Amino acid sequence: MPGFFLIDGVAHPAALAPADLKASPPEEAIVAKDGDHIWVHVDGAAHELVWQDPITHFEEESASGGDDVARAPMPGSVIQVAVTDGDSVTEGEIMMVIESMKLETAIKAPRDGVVMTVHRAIGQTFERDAALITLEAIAL
Amino acid sequence: MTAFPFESVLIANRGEIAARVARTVKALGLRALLVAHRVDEGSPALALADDVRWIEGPTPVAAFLDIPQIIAAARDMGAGAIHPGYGFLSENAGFARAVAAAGMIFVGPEPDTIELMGDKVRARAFVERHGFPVAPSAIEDDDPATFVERARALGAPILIKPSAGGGGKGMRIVRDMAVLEQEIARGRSEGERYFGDGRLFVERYIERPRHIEVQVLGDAHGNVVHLFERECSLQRRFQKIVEEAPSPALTPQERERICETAAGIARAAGYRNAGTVEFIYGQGEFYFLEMNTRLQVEHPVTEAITGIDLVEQQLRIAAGQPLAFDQAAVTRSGHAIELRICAEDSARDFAPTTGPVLRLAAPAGARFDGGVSEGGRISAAFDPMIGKLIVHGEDRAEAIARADRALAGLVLLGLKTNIGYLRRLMGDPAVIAGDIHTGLIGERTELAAEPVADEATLARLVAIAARHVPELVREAAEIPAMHAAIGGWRN
Repeated sequence: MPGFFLIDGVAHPAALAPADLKASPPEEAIVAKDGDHIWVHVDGAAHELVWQDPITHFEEESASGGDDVARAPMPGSVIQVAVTDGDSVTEGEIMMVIESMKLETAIKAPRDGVVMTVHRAIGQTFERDAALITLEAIAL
Repeated sequence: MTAFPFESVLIANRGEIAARVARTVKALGLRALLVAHRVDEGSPALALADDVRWIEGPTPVAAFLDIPQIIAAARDMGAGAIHPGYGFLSENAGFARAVAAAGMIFVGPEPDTIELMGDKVRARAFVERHGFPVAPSAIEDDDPATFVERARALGAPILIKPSAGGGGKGMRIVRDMAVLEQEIARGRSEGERYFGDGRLFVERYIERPRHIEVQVLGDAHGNVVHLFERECSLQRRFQKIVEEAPSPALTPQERERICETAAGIARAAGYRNAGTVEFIYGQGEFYFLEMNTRLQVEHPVTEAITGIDLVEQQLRIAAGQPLAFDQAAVTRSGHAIELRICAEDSARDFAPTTGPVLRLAAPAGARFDGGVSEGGRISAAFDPMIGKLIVHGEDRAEAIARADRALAGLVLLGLKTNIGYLRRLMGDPAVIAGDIHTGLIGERTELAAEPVADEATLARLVAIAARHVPELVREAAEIPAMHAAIGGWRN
């Protein structure tokens, strides 16, 4: 069963035909793999593709519009937490302040809602895209 | 040549500069010693070093600022001299003194010179006293009662700065003197808020300023030469990312004036070793900004146009040797450009990125000074610079063309970098025309976002990547021959 490649956040269907396997590899692309992340250098530019098998793909797609979770825009550490579980927040309200290489960034509420989980405490570190704060899902 | 009073040099640094210094140390027949932190295991400097001691600290950065630990490691390895690189302890007079007190040679200027140039107000006063140009200014502390009057007398535009400030915080540009007093009041309250100190000073502001700096060398025998200028106006967040030599802005007469001024400042300071005098340039005027008493990140562009190895000169000067050339013998040829390759995302306001270095291959036709090896990792522990590409051409246009080819040929996979951004920047008409200033990158917001790949490129990427997904390869191999014969896999 074929799957998908995420390129810049957009899913592209992927499949491989037996004929593709037999054909010689296309042009002078340089490829490196890191788990599901496949990096391709071609035509003087590097691209990142993230492989998703169909199950992962449809799970992630159905897991809400994505505005329940405030994620880290960059790797860093938490320097301030302004909310706790159960707090009501309004869209744009600062919930947390993070720091990465001496640069401070405010983590704001993506929408009005109620804080379900604060995932990181002051001083804790995280990688990019790590979930920092999850809001309670809105019942549809 | 065994004219060195030391047989080994400890490099108190990391990343690309540690590797770069190690190469010259070894080429001169000396031993390269290193202090390193475990996060840099497998880095190019470690592969080059003849001996190493691991250093530690509450953070990796703190380890490189730990003077007693570094001196102890140097002694343990029997180092005769210490090269500080740039950043970390390179402009720390206390470190220079500690190295001397431990019986080793510090590869850099005298501690008193480091102190003089490290104090921005003292350095400015020193330069002014010796008759060199500084921006017309008014310092509130000189006479608070007449401050507004003196500020007004400078004429618009002026820049208000908190005396205790730094990093651009609390700075205000005044173009209309009618609002001068209001802006002074605002600047004062910002200074109080950011630095707990409301004192201000103002100086003449240059619109669309260029950052031009001059490389100087001074030896222990009173000889001082300049090695021409570098232009470093392409900056993001007050940090240089592209530097070139010579500057495309200067006329031959201006070049002579600015380079002679820099040499004059170095001579007045009795400067010994390699240093850089930075100037703000605009509308045909230039003013002293500061002097950096160390090797600069962008020193390779000067090496490219002059053919002089600056680290070799630093070591020879530290060894007490006189400069082997006078000013007339320092010549330049062609045009050089340095591009700083950083782990950062231009589309997210140049936020730092991290990740593994899965593949790294330097391009042909360029010098690549790298700080990490394939298989290494870029962490958030240090600054985001991965390495530097340096290209040299007969003229600026050729250098720009080579810069683009080098960027396209640099393979660096595993994390997001600024390589694509640098290619877009070097293709900008203002950059190609040499019509640049320190605010240009901030104005060119349209260059920040990665352009969306077209359909044909996306299809190629998917086809290439699909061969590297084991599930897809297995499925393709398992399709019965009969199905394959009638057209292969269909969605």
